[in-house]
Amino acid sequence: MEPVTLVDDYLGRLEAAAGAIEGDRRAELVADVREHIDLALADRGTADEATVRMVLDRLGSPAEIVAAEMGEERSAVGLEAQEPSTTDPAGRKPLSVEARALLLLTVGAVILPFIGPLLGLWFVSGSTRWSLAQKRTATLIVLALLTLPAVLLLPAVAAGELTWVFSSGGFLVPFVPLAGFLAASYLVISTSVVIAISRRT
Amino acid sequence: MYRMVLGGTRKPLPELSRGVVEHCVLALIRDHESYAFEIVRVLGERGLVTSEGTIYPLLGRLRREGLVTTAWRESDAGPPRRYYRVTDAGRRVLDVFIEDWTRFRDAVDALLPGAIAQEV
Repeated sequence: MEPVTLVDDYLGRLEAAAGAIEGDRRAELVADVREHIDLALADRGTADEATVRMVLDRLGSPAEIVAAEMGEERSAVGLEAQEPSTTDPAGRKPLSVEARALLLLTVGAVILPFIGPLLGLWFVSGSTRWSLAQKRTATLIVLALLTLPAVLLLPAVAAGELTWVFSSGGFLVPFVPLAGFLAASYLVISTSVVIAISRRT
Repeated sequence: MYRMVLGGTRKPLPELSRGVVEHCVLALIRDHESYAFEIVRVLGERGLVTSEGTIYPLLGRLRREGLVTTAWRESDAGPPRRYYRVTDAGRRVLDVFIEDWTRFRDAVDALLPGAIAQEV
């Protein structure tokens, strides 16, 4: 076969194999490979049949190149799917563990006093984005603020001052949702700080 | 015969080079821009890529991900060439890879039989 025919034949097979690839990228891929062949032949200073065959051989089969292109497409999609986890510290992805944890710590603390924040902590512990230290601190915040009302009211309850508990103990009620809110803000702020620092270095 | 048992000719371990070669590309053009043919040539010389054509899909993805940018430049010999250059994002990705790779390599080296035999 004539060297020029060999190249045309190769590019033709590449184009045919690339049928499934979207137009712009197919054209670009074929143009890239064509340029490569031109440069490789120019580099060797000859375009006889043996040289052309070697250049084409080193390129790999058209099917192989197309398979690589399709593979890149898949891995690029995979990368996009992972991207939000690195760029979105507050976990705004609706169904991520972090988002559920934050929701339960805040909204959950209002709707389900005590239970909401505790459930939230459970989700916090399952997160891979927050560090162990962050999880511990968040747990401490919630537990401390949830036990505070109990600790302050217990002496009064023990002393039988139940009327006082109901009439004056009200100021302690906000502590229950506050526990979740504080823990949630702590998690968000500490994570943003860590990310901001790592970006700067 | 042995090779056939292992599954054909020995290419440079596709499972191993996946995800590594792209960082080699970033490293190659980290400090000075280069054109695809030159990148492929260097990778081929070092045995990092066997089917040279597969590097073009890779370069295309790096560009779409914004890790490299390209610019057409006139060439003394022949048609204009597309030059590749690392972006800031690409540089960051490479820096992370260098750290990961060093740790990975050291860990594997320490586990391989040869290294163990030397230690004992």
